[in-house]
Amino acid sequence: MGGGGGGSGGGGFTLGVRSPGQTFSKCMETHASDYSITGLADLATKGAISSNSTVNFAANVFGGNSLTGTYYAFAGTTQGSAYNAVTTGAGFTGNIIAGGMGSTLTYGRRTSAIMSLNLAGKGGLPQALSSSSAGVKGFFGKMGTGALRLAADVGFTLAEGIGCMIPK
Amino acid sequence: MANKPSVADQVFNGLRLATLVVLVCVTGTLFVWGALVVSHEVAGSVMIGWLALAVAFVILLLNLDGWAKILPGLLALAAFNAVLMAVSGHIFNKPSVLVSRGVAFGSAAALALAALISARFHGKRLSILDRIVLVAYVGFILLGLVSQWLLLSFTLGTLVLAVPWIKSQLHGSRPKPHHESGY
Repeated sequence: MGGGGGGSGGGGFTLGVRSPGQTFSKCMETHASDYSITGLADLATKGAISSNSTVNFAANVFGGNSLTGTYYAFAGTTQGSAYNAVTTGAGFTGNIIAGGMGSTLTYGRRTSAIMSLNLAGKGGLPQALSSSSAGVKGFFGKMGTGALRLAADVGFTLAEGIGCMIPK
Repeated sequence: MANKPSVADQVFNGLRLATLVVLVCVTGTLFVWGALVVSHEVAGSVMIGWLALAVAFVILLLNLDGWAKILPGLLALAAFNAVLMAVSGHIFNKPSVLVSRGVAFGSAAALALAALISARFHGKRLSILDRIVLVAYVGFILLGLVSQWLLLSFTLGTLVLAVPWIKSQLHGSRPKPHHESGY
């Protein structure tokens, strides 16, 4: 652990976590893993989580900071990981889009451009535009608690930002 | 038209929400730490490890309806996080700790499927089977942590979550629609 918020750097209590001479962005990148639910749990358990790779992965899956994680996965500066992530992500997304094209919007309809995919008795607007979007809306409503988790991540990121604004 | 909540109501709701978030974090930490101590993965008193697990399970059982409500969102975000780690090839914000892309993508798929399946628990009166399945899912995740077979445990957990759905399909009982179809 890289030391959470509220360290005492010799001269008494301070909320600052930025080392002398360290830039704000470098400080944010260094402490990104500490400011999350997992980081907090790791601190509480004296490094029990970060010392085990499987547990570390699972804990970050459920409690990692998605905001800083997303940012530093794609825009980080460390060890060329951002370039790696962008190229892998681009290929992955391309495959998904290629797989999705021509199937989701046309399969199972009378109006499909490919006759062999047409089904008798169904028609109308493409599924993505029809009343089934109400079901999609309901589904995202059920997933809404994910936003609550994201809200916690926003709080952690703000706390990290404040910590990195104040020098140790 | 619904009444506008008073400031006191909003403050109370905010505090309640914050307490719930803290409770979820504390319960999760107790589960993980307890499981690791009991399995001798980390140093600590085994007795206190079992106590932590017991307390976490009691909190879980007492709040199972709320747990069922938040599970789809948590799993969906977990799937998203797993995809991010698979794409970047390392743990969140720690480029020095590499992860297997296969395990990460597999975990993402299992978690996304679990999120879809668990959405059926949302806003539903939980049956005994639903409750058993939800507790078993947590058990499988913990088993994966201590056995290092995380992907297998995510997959088995997802299959267990699907049991009530499979049962309802076999019995031909479909859940009531929430709204009229409009035809």
